[in-house]
Amino acid sequence: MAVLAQLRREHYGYTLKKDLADQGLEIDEGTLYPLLRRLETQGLLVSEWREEDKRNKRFYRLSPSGKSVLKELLVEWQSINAAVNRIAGGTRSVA
Amino acid sequence: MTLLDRYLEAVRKTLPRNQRDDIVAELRDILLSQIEAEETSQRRRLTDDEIAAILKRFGRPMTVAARYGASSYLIGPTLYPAYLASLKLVAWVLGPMAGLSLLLSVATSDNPFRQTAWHLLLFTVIGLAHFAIITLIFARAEKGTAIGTHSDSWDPRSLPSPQRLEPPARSQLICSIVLMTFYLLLWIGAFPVNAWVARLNAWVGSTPLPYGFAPVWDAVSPLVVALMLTSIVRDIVSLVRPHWLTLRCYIGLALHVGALLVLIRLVRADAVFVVTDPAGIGADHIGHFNQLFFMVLFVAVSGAFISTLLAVQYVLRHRTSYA
Repeated sequence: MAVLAQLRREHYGYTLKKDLADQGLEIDEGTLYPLLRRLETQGLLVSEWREEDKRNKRFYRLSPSGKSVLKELLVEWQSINAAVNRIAGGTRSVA
Repeated sequence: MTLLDRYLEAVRKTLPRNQRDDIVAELRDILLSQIEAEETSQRRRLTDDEIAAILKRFGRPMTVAARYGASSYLIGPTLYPAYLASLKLVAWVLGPMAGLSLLLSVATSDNPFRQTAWHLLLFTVIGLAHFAIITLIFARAEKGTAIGTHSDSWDPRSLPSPQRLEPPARSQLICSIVLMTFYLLLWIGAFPVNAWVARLNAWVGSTPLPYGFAPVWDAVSPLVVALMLTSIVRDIVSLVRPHWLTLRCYIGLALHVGALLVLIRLVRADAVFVVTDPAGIGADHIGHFNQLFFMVLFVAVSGAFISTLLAVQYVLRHRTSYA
């Protein structure tokens, strides 16, 4: 979900990893790069090879289908998050 | 070829073929980005040691490739290096033992041919049994992945440079054509060899050998001629079209298989030489003579078998790496 959210803006592999890490989510590169390919295969991302700084780079961004999946995931996440917060708050008051 | 190229080539070998170029291009981009970021922060070019450290951190080529491939395997990329090392160790122990035991038994036996065959069979069975046991142990370890710990003891600098197909030198091709044509003419009897031998015998005053070729040689002759002609045609094609390397590779494999078939046919014959003297002179020794030649043939068959396997491996390697 974090990857999908980050790819609302176009990134290539290395900057995506760096941006996620800067925001506190370190993802192992052995997980991240194959994940990008899998998400693309599932139609959630689109990619494009483009030359930048005299080198070909693969840029990923969210596809229209990825945008709607991300929207659903965010709603689900917020509802789970709220529920967990309520439970955690309740537990604290009992303790 | 840079360290990065060698690393990517090693990854490429085990990637799913239809995605190979795309994944390697992406990995190159990822790794170059890391190297550049490091160079920017250090304000200098990285040394080979530093690049090797980045590659090492990125992972073993087989492990990296496995992340992109959905293939299932008996022994996975983590355990495979240890599996290979175990097989090599067994080969290094068994090989010299087999050689020594073979030499001793051949030297002390009345029937060296039978002893050679028996020892080769015995050590083949022992070798296969070890191979099976080691494979089973590692396959079991792969299933219970708890045993598969990740080893950091590899060095990207030890990755081999990929062997690319190179066209043979023209001089080598011309020599090969000339020699093979000479052998072909010799084989089909274009030269009066028998007359030359008779003249030589008369000149030195010795009696001719009372032996001749057994009928099996006539049986293999068409295949031998076909192989020689194929070899000549292959070399002529290579002279005219030096970059038709894949074709050359496949024809080379076919020649290896053909030569192996010829040798197997000879080994399976009752005799390769027969007595030609009407009075039966030399009949006492023909058995030993044949036995000696069979031993040579047996070694030749083993050599041809190994070289055919190597040719298959060569074709597969170049097919998968550069197709």
